[in-house]
Amino acid sequence: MCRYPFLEAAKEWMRKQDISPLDAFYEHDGMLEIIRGLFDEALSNVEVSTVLKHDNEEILFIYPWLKILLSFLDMPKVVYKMANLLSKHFGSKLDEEKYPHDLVNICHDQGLKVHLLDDGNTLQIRTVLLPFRMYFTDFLPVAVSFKSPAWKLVNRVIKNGYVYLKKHDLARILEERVKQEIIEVMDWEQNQELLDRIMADPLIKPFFKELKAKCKEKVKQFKQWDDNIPVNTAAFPPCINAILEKNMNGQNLAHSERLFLTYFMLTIGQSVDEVLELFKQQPDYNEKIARYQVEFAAGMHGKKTKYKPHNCAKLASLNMCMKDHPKFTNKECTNPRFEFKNPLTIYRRIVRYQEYTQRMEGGTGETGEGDGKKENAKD
Amino acid sequence: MSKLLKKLFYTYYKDIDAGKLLPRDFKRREIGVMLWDKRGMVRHKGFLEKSELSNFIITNAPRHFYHSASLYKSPWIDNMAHKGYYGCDLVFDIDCDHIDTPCKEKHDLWKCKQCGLEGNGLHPKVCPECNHAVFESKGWLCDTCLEKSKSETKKLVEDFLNYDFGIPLDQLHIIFSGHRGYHVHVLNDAFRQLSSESRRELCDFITGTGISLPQIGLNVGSKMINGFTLDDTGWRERIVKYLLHAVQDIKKGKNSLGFEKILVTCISHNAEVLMERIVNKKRNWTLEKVAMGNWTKIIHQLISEARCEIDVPVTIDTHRLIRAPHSLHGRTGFKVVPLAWDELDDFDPFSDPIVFKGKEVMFSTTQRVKEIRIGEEIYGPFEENTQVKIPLETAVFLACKGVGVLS
Repeated sequence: MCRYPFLEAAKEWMRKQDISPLDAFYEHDGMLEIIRGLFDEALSNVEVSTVLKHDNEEILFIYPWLKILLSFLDMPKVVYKMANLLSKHFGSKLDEEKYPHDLVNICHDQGLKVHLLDDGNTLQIRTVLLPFRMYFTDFLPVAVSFKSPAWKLVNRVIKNGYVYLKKHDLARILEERVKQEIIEVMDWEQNQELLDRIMADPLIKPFFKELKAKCKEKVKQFKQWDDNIPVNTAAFPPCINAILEKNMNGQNLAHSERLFLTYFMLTIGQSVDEVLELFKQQPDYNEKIARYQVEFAAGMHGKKTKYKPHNCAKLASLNMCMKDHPKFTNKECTNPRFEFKNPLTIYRRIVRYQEYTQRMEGGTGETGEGDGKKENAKD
Repeated sequence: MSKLLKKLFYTYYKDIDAGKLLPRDFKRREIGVMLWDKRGMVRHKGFLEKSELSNFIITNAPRHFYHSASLYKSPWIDNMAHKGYYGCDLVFDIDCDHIDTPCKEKHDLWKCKQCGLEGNGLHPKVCPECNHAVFESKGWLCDTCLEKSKSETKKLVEDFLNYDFGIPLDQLHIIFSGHRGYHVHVLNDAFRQLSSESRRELCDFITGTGISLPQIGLNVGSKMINGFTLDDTGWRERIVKYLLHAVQDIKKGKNSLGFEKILVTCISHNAEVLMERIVNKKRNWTLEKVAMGNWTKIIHQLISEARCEIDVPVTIDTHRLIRAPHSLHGRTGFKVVPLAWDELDDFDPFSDPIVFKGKEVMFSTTQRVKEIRIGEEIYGPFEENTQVKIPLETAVFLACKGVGVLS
């Protein structure tokens, strides 16, 4: 239980201890240092924490405190970075679990209906053992959050309604759960009373102020990167806007989202460096790896293939099509007259239209004919 | 004209057992109808009493009668966001309108709304004359179309919903839509909470969308290919079964899966070896003189034959209305017929759903009418502006199709 503070059982144990959050700081030496270290790791895009190496009781007190602090800091990018660090950290611990029963119990604690099969019923595909299974209606809500071909039902081993899973799959599912749980702090209502107590505490007040200043400085740096986003954002299709928004918030993008964003930006004329600027928002950004991948997509390595962005059908199958999303939809994308097959076509069409209307607007003042043409164009 | 048809529909709705027309959990369903004398759909109706719904249907004798697949707290509220969504039945639609059958070239017409160019079959993506993409389509029906709908329905029920997803046949409610296809309702409340995204994933499975050969374990290397065996499950097993079928087919000199010539040659040259490996569950699919590119083409062809042609938006849209069982279809006059699984094979969509049977009546065509089978007889083709004496059921069908008027 000490290894996994996100468990309901761990939270229940904490409730029974009946220790106020502030008292926990005084009762557990070193908590401040660990929290400080975790924020440093998160803000530096570290994926495997070296601060959280001990499986002791402290983590049970640190975890709720981290969520409280993230809620008070109110900086989404910092939340996403911390969610990335902790989910990857616990994900790797889960992957190392020796006993399948333990993993199943953790899944049950998290409300996931996972069954462990006895040896006679375990499936094996070539050398890969699949000792767990989930009924497909329980698997689907989990799978759709992954946006990766490997998690599509069509690519899964399914028999008689059950999807068969390996140990690593369960670790990934739980990892995603942890990430979502931390991201949820953004929806919390601020506990003003607790904040006042923090700001009156001689030990925690300076610590909180220091943490806030550090995070603010880092977020300011992210903002500078935001300003470097390509200029013609008004012409982007809904699918790109949705990914860009996630990226700007510092949310961890799925592999397929990163690929699609890269292919799209390169195809519309962005340079490798400009695309890399975008990825600096990512909580796991690594300049060396990202540069190689973007250069590869630009045809600078390997077979020198220049990749085109995914088509609309592929995006829909990866749950990345946003044409029906109330926030991102636009009228070009949903216009029944044009069955767009690729987001690039939408982008180019909007760009052409913008150029056309600009020309028309430019002519309005000079000839007086522009008004009429402008009206027609809008029709 | 519509008055006469409305009168006929009224006699049907007046006499039918009202209980048959009620959808499951009718108090929670939105009801929608299309009337004879008004354009558009009358939506957002809800009824708390059996008699109210029955009176509404009898009084209006609608051309089309639908209910929501979803359940709501207050189905009568106009604003979808305020209805109080409880969940949505899992529903599939198979409609031959979306399936490219060879008969469409013979009986379907399209017309470009921009330049007026006409053609046969399914309309092209863009008009070859003016490059516009807005068409008017005139579809017709024949045994080939509806046989294809039936075989796809069987594939959906038997191969996917029952075999892969383990849903018992008695939970799968099959319904002839009264026109071009079949609906399948899954009668299991556990599926009602599936989100649209989850439903899309299910549809992708059924349509074989997004299959990644490396992800499903088909390793096509530069010189070797490791395939699947009949012991595998899901799409892996399906690919092997279709490959076995293709090999047997080609051995008999047929090519029912429609492979291109070079692929037929690849398979026929290796038919014996392939058969032996499939039957003995060997994963080595490497064959002499078959390039890896051709192997990949063969597998993609197998996938496109094994996929089921469902109308995806119907399944993923949780706010859609679906035709009510036992109602009448306003474009054919046929009944929307619920079917048990063992009734599907023998069901004749041009005979069994006929409701209005009677003596011969005079029918005046207003446009050229293509050949159609109603019951055991074939009628037509009829020229435009012709008077013909045909049985009532055929006249009702043609009148509902809008190609003429009952006299």
